[in-house]
Amino acid sequence: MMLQAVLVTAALMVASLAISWYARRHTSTTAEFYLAGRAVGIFANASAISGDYFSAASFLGVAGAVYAAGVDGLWIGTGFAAGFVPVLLFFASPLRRFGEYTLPDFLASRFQSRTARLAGVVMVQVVVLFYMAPQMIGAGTIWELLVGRGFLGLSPYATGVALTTLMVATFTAMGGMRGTTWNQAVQFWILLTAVVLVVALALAAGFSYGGVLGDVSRGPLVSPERWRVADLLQADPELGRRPVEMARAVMSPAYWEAHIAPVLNEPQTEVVVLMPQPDRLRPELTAQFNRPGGQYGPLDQISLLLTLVLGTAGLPHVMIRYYTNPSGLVARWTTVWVLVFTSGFYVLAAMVGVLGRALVPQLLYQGGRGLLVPTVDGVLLRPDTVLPLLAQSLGGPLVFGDVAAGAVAAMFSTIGGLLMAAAASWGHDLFERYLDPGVPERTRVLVGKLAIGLMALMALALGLLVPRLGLDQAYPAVIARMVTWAFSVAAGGLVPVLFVSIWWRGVTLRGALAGMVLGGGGAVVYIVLHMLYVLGRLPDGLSLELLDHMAYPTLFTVPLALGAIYLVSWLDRRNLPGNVDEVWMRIHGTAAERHARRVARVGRVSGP
Amino acid sequence: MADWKTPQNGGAEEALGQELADWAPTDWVIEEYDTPEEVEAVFRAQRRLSFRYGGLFLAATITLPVLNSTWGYWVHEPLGKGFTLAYLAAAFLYPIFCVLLGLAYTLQANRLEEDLLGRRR
Repeated sequence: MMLQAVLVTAALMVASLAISWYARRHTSTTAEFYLAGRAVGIFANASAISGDYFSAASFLGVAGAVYAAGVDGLWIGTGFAAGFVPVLLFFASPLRRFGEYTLPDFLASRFQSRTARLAGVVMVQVVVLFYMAPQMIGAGTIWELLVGRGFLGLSPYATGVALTTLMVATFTAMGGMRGTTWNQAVQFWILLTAVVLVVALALAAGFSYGGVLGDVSRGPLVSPERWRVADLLQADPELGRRPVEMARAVMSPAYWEAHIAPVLNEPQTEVVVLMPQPDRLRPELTAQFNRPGGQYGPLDQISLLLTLVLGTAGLPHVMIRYYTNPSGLVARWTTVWVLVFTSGFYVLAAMVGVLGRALVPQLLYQGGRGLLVPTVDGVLLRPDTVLPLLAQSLGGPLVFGDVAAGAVAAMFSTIGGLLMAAAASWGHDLFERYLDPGVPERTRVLVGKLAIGLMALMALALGLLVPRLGLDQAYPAVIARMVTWAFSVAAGGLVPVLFVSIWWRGVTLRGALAGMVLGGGGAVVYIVLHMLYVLGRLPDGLSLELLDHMAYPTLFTVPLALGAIYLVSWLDRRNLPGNVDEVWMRIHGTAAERHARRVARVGRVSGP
Repeated sequence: MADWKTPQNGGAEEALGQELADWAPTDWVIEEYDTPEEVEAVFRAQRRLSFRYGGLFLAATITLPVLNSTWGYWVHEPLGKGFTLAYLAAAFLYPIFCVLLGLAYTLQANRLEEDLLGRRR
């Protein structure tokens, strides 16, 4: 247990609660509670969006992905950042100009349809649940790493999940969107500072990016793999040699003699060895750190990148933040700043991954200052621990504390954003619109807070359920994998319908619904099939070769959804919504915000 | 008429001074409005702009993984200190491209709206 880390993390938790306590006075109306009064400026909202966006998968996972897979890992961070380009080009300004509260609000008004709203609510909830699950896994994992013990009879993992749920639900319900915004902005700068510190310390210690990259790219890219000794000794007919020889060739003689050689006469024993990774783009070669192919084949290279760049615009907790900007113009500039923040962060996180490849063996050799993280012959068993390890080794307990607080901050800000988006969907889209439209403002806010509690319970259940399903064992980098699944569902289920609703007059309600069902439903079905495939539970006789080559379905769900929207809308062209001109005036005209600016200016230059 | 606020510092004073210079008593009664024809024109112009930038972005985004799979020089030849073109693109060039593209688009989109909209009565 790292006392300093726990203290810094505890300080962050207290600060989050204090901010929410201070912000609670701004939660008296639904516009304040859900949207911070639509008065969040460019810098604050860009910081908050970045904090909202950087989950545990980003903060620990991107450095870990680069550490584990080299160039292929780089694309995860780069794709996360690039996702804001489509947001800027096609969505941020029109959605903000349309106003309202949520994505289902937009769909309901665009198509003058309750069905569109309900379909939007379902899709929002599905995306939120997909995104929430890995955050809860991250919460449990970080608690295991930091504290390593459970309370009240719970395991360390379950304690982390439960405590995080309780904390985030409390500060989100208390502070509403205003408190969540302030918290997310502060949390973003904490986690950015943590990465900057680690990189600065490494460079100050004399490590150069290029030099380190050259060093780690000399040999083959190796990863720890668990093998049964009997399988390790059996010749691979495809390779024409035994796996044990391949492992022996890339591991140090000292480690081999000490840890592997003594168990090679026990066929049923399992050992973890380093294995050179095949180049999945050029099978005749072994993978190398500075070459793509260490993790993804040709289809996955494209599918992963498309998933990340197209999915961002469909993430409800990110897009709801644009409604907190005062205008479409401000929403655009906010996105430019988000691009700067996220790109900068991921460039630095990637550097941490590269530095880790070179530094971890040295740090382990020197001994003493590092965390007790499991390694195999100088390679981390869990790549996600590379950032905390470097922080502890290079900067000591205080920098490690900052990184630990950053990891917790990343989870808090993302889970807080998810809870707000889900609560807005339940409270605003369902309760206020259908169940009790005439209810007073105070009750609406109360319902929003109750919705946060309900979603928090679902998050808790998800966090505890995933390990029971065995998904964390089946997928080595389960957090990053599940986050990318959420992007897939958003990319298929929400992005195409939002895109055509903003940029094509000809879309009809039926077309929109067809796109959501095929795009979102197709993504969910594909992901479930992939889970069953990896868990070895696919029904007998069902063999899908594609599952082996493509982990994310965006490559076909987005074209499928767009095609369905176009085809069905064309067939249904007599039923165009009657309010398209009015919607166009709102999302593409600027009169309302020019008027608001003028009123604000008059208010500024004259007193009350 | 309401009282004027007094600025408290130099920077704010300058900004407020400019606002006062721009402001006219008729500001109270001016209404900003767009005509449907103007909005349709700005929509078409914005769509052209967004799609042009979107096409450029999509082309770059798909080209990079395709190059990873098809062009040997792109992945094999270190440019110095271990950097391959594929690594440089993923680590630096693509993020810089995205930021510059976003900035250029925002400047053009804002200017376009200013030019095509802005009626008052």
